[in-house]
Amino acid sequence: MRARWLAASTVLLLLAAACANSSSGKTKTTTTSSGGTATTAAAGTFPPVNEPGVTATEIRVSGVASTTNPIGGQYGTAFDGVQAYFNMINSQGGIYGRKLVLVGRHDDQLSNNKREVQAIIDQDNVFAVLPVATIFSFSGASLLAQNNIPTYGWGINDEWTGPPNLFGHLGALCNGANCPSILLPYVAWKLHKQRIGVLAYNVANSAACVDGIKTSFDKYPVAKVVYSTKALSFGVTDMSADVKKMSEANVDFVTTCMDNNGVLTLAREMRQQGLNVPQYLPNAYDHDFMAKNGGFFEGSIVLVQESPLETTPKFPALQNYVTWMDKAGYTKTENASIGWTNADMFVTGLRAAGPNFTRQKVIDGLNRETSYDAGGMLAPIDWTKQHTDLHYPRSCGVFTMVKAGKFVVQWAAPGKPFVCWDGTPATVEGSKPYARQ
Amino acid sequence: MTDLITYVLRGIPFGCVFALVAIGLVLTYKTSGVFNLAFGAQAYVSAAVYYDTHVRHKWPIIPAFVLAVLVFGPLVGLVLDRLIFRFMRTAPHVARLVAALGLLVAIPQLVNLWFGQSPSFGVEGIWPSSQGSNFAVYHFGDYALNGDQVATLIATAVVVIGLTALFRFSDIGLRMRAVVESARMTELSGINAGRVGTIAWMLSSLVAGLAGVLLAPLFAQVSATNFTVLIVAAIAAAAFGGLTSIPLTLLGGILLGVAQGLLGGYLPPASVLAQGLRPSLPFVALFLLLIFWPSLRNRREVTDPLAGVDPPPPGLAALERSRGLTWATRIFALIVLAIAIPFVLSSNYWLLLGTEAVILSTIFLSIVVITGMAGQISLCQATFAAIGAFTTAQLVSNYHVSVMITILAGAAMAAVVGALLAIPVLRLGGIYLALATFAFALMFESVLVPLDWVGGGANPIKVPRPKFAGIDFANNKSFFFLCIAILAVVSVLVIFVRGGTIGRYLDALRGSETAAQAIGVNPTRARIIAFSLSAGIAGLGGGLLATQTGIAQPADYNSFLGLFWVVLVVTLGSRTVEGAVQAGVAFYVVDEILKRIGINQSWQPILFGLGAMTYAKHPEGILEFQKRQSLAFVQRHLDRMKRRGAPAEPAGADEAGAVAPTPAQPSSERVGAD
Repeated sequence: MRARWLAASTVLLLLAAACANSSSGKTKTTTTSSGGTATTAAAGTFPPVNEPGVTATEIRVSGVASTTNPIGGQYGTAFDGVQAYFNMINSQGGIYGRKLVLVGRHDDQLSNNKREVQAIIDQDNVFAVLPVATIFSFSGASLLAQNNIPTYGWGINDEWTGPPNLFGHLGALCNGANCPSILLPYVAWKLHKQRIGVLAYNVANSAACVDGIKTSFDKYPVAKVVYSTKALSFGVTDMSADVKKMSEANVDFVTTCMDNNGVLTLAREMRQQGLNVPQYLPNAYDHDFMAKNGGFFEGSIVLVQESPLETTPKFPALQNYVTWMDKAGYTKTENASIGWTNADMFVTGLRAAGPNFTRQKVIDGLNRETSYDAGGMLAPIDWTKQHTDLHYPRSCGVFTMVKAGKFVVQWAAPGKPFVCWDGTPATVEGSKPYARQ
Repeated sequence: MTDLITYVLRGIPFGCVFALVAIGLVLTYKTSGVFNLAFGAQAYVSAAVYYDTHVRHKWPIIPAFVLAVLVFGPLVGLVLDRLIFRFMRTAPHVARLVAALGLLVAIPQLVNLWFGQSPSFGVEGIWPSSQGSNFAVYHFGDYALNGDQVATLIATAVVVIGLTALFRFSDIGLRMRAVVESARMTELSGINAGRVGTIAWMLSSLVAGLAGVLLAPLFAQVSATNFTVLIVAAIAAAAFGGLTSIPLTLLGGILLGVAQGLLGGYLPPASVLAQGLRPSLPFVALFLLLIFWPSLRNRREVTDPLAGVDPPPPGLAALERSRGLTWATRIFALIVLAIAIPFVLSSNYWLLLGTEAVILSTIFLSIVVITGMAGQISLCQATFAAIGAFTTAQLVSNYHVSVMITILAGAAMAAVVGALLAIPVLRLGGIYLALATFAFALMFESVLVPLDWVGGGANPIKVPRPKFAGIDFANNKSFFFLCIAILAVVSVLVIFVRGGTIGRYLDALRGSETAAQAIGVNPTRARIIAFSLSAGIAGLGGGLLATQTGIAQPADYNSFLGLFWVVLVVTLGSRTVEGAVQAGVAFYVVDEILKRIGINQSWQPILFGLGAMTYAKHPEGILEFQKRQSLAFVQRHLDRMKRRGAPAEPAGADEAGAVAPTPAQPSSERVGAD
């Protein structure tokens, strides 16, 4: 193990030395590809690599997303993020003299995840799997874990927790009543809101979200949940009674565990009944949606899981993302951004593994990172712990406020959109949040 | 009291949404005899056209409305009538329901080929200023309506008055109803049934288009799923009107909306009761209405008085071929298996597909029992599979019972639930049975699946592979052969049941229930056994599927997926074991072929959905029909060869080549199907 550490460190040092324009100024463990502009040259002779999906000229990857889905989620755009990142790396000569190639864009159509993952393994001849952006469940995870294939994706499913070769963008996932979070209480405190209404669908994930919110306010009692329901149906639902009761309970802040259909229906009903209070929207960082419906959400807070496009000034990784997405003509969505960071995780692992890389070395390479953040695009992840440890060493989130249909970053510092806390603060008021890139 | 009035008043606009859709369903049923589950899909067509013209291409409201509702609405009805339903006027109601199911599957995918899958936010209604900061709200004291609700209220009133007047005071309204009653008798009176039917379809499709454009702003974006869910919720209101009365349907819709409001107002919001009852109210109401509502309880579909002159459906091809040909077929099947199995074993991917195809074939055998043998359409087979899967998962997870035993326990649980469900619903028959089973499926999804002790909560329950008789089926190949063995056992069971007393009782009941009862057949007992057996088989398959995927997740047993299963099996062949197996294989193979040749996978549901249109002409299924054709062809050649070598004209096929059992052919020459 020690030898592997030394080898990887040596490679990283050599790479850093070759990186003429590297300007991130971070420590070794946080250096990422997207932060620099010319980190790798294709010069030199690299040793042959005898791994699936690796040729003398290419490193092949393939991914799977719920591209076809009934809720209009743009999960398929995760492929665009990966492709844009690969375009950037390939324009710099690739990695170890090889181009990065996204050979497959599989659509699991919600319920065929395992089948598509098996197709990737058997038919695509790939070295790694990215992106994975599934909505209901990641049932192919067990196959990828068994085959020890480096896998990177949108880590919202429970299956991401555990196997050391599966890298979700959030690390281990903690949902529900056992996972109090400071993020929402902090928002309520910042907005001076005291009385919270919580609405959710009658489906398991949505209901678990309500439990998590209640637990969070139990732990951080800066406000009180005075109305909650998990009884709304997906699709057409009448929220008039809920809004009336929230009005009677003097709710001044509403949070939901619903999709865009649900939050819009709620917003319309609130407007109709004159309940003019902001919503907390954990799933609404969608520029098209907000441009067309922003009038219903003025002053609402949208949680973002990665550095938003509205960050100013844009740090190098974010600028690269914007530049290369625009060059390819792709739409910049939240999932595209996650796809970009998935590609960055992969390349970070590759670089840590060195030119004589194997799947295991690539996995180990990223798993040595103690503060991986994709050049500031993500909240930092300690990969030495966060495959399994649900007690995160820090909590981070990006909070944006909807103003005239646009997202405006809140409570952060210029160029540092994330608001973070180290450890688990005892109280919101006494906590010491700090901004970070 | 003030609260009560408020909740009631606030429920009315929502009730009108249900009412408008339900009136469309009733209109279609009343004027075409089709319970049109594809009504939502038709509404989606106009909604998509309106969005594309008004939002994407910035057309003004009026021309966009005219094109979407007044042009596209009737046009869709015209096309459906000319291409499909005019040929089904004398078909049984079940055949028309199957056709509607096929359209429900096919139309949204067809529209999406043009409309695209990308998000379509910013839906606008026909009421100006219906969005964002310009959102129009009209206050009436403490009560407020938004512009879209005003439009819906007005449109609902206009539609109700117009249609009531049409049916009560106009000749065309009377003719529409007469054509539904008996197109042939109507034509004997000099009425052009074809033209009347076309007008009926255009009218109902116009209402669908109107509903689509009016109700689209209820959602954040235009999506076929939203309309389908809306239709399903509105069926209860249509049932309240007995599928015939438009004023009662309006009342039913409003009552449903008001009841939703009252439940929201008076049930404690965080209570388990609210969590279960509020989302499932339309389905609970539908189920109870079908069971208890006087106008539906003892109702059978109106049948064409001239239906008695129609020839009976043909027998199975396998029952009509000679012994030699049967053996030749079996040898051919063995050769196909000998080629297919090594191919499936050649890669993990094909092994996965093959295993899932075998499991799905097992589940599809449940449709053979309930539809092919009992002649009933059940729309909750996916739910029975879910019961098997969740029972398996819960027993393994919480009680650490052997996986093989839990799979059998899951099958037993599904069989028990099937038997209990059969008691109230089986006397409904036809489309009412289909609707009751669909309501049951949706209730199960809304009430039970979200519970931790059923669906497992936010994280799907993991299900390992079985270990049995010293073999660890964690090995994919071993598991594949286990699934084949189970399929073989279930197939033999189905064949025995079909050839046994219950199968013959069910045959008799399909022919004439009254006649069957006259010879001592107990229809209730026979059908409950069939329903329970069918549910048990589906539950067995569900348990196997959970074991195969490694988790029991609700998405694998979605009720809408279950609709597609029914469409697939009845299209290909619901009367035989090989029909189920072919459907199971086709489910994966067609998808794979489309992928390989680079065709959009949306074509799979389109192909099978449109294939369901053939059900009326070939209720035995396309493959069974083809089998009969092939058999006739081969038999013709064999007979010709026999004639050449024989001194006298042999008995057998007639000159036209039709193969029919004749008294001249000894029964010992016939062998059983499959």
